[in-house]
Amino acid sequence: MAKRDAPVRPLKLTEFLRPQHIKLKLRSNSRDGVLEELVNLLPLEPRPRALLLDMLKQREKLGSTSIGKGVAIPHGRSVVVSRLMIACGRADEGVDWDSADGKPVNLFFAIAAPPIEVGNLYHPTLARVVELVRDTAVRKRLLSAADPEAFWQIVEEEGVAG
Amino acid sequence: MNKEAELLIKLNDLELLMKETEDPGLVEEGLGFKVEKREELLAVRQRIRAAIRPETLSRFDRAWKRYGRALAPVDNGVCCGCFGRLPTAMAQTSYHPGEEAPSCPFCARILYWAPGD
Repeated sequence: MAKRDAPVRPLKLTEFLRPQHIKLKLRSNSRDGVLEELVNLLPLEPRPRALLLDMLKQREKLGSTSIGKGVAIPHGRSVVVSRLMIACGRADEGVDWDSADGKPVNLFFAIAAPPIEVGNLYHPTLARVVELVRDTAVRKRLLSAADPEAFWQIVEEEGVAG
Repeated sequence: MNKEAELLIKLNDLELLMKETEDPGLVEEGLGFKVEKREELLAVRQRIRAAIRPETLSRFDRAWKRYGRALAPVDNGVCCGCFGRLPTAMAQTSYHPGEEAPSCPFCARILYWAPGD
């Protein structure tokens, strides 16, 4: 009997992102300040939130999570997170993030994942976000989105892989 | 969550971070992220380890070696590492400051209770 392939569900970034986890007017102009604002968007209790922030800061010590072109994707796994989650931010002024191209960062996608997740979607999600923001047209749209809902809608339309 | 639980979580997250970024040709570098200053993290790891009781640390190391993660959250009286239902006396409450972090009686991962559990 011929073996039938199981249908593969496309990866959608908006499964892990909600409009309330998007902040288009980040106030901080420092890396630690922006990380804190991003982590504060996630639905976590204060202590786990502080521990997640600590992990993201440690990751930055290892090397910048900016991929250039004004984008940073702070990310990592932590036991305080029970499912994969994304928070987004935008800073019109730009924040120094030790980028390889030397450009300040305006767009931020923070990704947090538990040590082990069903479906093992952490790396594919990270890769999909990188792919999404490398697209100049998408970046322009994200930079001009009027509100979190509009920003989310762009990610909904463009952030699908599979 | 007591101080030792927080230190164990920090250590576990740090070990995960180092594991994720240590392989050659790893996903991180392939995607364009920098991975270059491991020495700083090694120093942080040493500081955290020095602040944890030796007995707890050796339980952490054994569980890490065996499972690739040493901690497991407790959810509704169940160890989320092995999904074993914990004995009632253990399952109900978190442990208090100064107490030693308990291990799951089934898988030996160190248990922690997230706030609100």
